[in-house]
Amino acid sequence: MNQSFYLDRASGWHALHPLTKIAVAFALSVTAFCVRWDFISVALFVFVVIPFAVWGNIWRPVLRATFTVILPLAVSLALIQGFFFPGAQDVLFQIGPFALKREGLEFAFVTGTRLMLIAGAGLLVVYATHPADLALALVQAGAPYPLAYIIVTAIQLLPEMQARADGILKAQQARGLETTGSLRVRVSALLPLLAPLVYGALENVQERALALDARAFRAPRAKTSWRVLRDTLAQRALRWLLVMFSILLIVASVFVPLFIR
Amino acid sequence: MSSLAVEQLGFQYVQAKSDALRGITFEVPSSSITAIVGANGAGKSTLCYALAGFIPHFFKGNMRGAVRVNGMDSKQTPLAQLVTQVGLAFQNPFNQISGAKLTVSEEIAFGLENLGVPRAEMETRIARALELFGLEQVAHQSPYALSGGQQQRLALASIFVMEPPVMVLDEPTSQLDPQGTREVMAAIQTLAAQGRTIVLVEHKLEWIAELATRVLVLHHGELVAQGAPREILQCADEWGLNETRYARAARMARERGLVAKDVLLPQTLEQATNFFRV
Ligand SMILES: Nc1ncnc2c1ncn2[C@@H]1O[C@H](COP(=O)(O)OP(=O)(O)OP(=O)(O)O)[C@@H](O)[C@H]1O
Ligand SMILES: [Mg+2]
Repeated sequence: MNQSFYLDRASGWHALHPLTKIAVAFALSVTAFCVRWDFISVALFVFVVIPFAVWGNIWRPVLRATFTVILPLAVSLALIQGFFFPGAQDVLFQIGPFALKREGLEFAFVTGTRLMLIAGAGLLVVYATHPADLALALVQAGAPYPLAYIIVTAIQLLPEMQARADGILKAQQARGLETTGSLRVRVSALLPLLAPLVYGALENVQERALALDARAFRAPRAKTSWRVLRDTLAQRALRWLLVMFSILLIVASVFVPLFIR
Repeated sequence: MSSLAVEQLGFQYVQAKSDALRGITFEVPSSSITAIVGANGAGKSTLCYALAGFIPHFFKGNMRGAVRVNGMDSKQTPLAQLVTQVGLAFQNPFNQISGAKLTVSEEIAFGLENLGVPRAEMETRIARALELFGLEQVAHQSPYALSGGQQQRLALASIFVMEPPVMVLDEPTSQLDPQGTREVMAAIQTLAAQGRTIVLVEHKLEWIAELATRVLVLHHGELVAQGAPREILQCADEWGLNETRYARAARMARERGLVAKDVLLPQTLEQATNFFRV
């Protein structure tokens, strides 16, 4: 059972400071939102995210996870926006009383590819950054220690929750619970699935809190770190540039109808 | 010298109708293994919380009497300072994994990071903890990938590495199979041999008879007996405990008149061997 997204690979992308990787993902997402060209997200995905993923030797999981998340979203976006986009005129074809319209599909495409880019950029960071390094970087950047801990455990706990949900699902299927079949049946099957998940999480909260205190988690002292972060002047400069670039882009997009549309 | 002194300790949880602990007085001598036994709900965990300072600092409620940790009153001492004196490990090893670390070594480092221990010093302390608890082979694995026995040893190692003179262990083997139990008990024995003071809550009386220097019996929140394991465990069933298989065999033999009535029931394999020889 893999309990973390992090994939330990000896790559240059992995070796970058966590904040540098976050800055890259941030700048990518900002660009996708600010540049008014329908294909900007696709272009960034193909020419930035994928090459970086190849560099980090994590292109397979990045692509797989991105599309597992995005495909269902994209399909529902295309259907909902394609048929019901407000003010759309250009009918592509008609199914009974419903008309599929071009403007709606375009909107779905832009939104869907933006989400794809954000997911891809985020996964690029998460797959290549050790959670403890992320926490350390956040603390060194001035984030409160408990907050950094919460962020990191949340990232860590996602796969654990998923594994547990799978386990509960299997157990309930074994007991004859309906997890396939019509939508109504499946939705009504969801409750008994969620109950143990939530209950299990709550039940352990007190003991987890006690265990943290037993490890001096709230000791009012300067913390040290077992892992060491490597940062360079070049990376600091790069981060600064990326942040300035993002801010400029945001400001510019407010005042100037940027690029084509 | 005693590491822990408990004087007339009483505690009532918020919203509880009755006391979880009443009038408890005892001392824990240094470098000993003190076992706490008692039926479910007898107050064993509550006593552990009080020994480690979680009562009154974590659990609010009505606390009476005092717990002194190396002479310091637990009420007057901040929890963060108490945990460096009394380490507390719990029943479920899974809940003790911080969730923020990817490897066993890093998990052990967590407490040291929180205490602000310099990195150079961490290295030697972590290495010692890994060795003592037999975790060297899995040092670079995920804590979640370990077996139950390994996870429990990791939980103990994570407390041990903070070097508290006293370690309070609340049913550390209850989730474990016999093999895992053996592993953890061996680690506990090593700790005591190194001069740590151990307070151990444990249901498996065979192990207590084997390891403990002293036994305390809790019954409905009161300390009803304390003394050497062999004497105390004579009346295990009166307090709702499962007597050891040696004691049970000896009792049956005695009831059939096979052995003398005035001899103490055996509690360990060695005692049983001698018992049945006479
Ligand atoms: N957080 C709490 N709030 C209120 N009452 C509690 C709380 N925790 C325990 N109690 C009560 O205090 C009493 C002693 O509980 P405690 O958990 O200390 O017993 P125990 O000997 O550890 O039992 P077990 O063998 O089941 O672990 C019980 O009656 C229990 O219901
Ligand atoms: Mg208990």
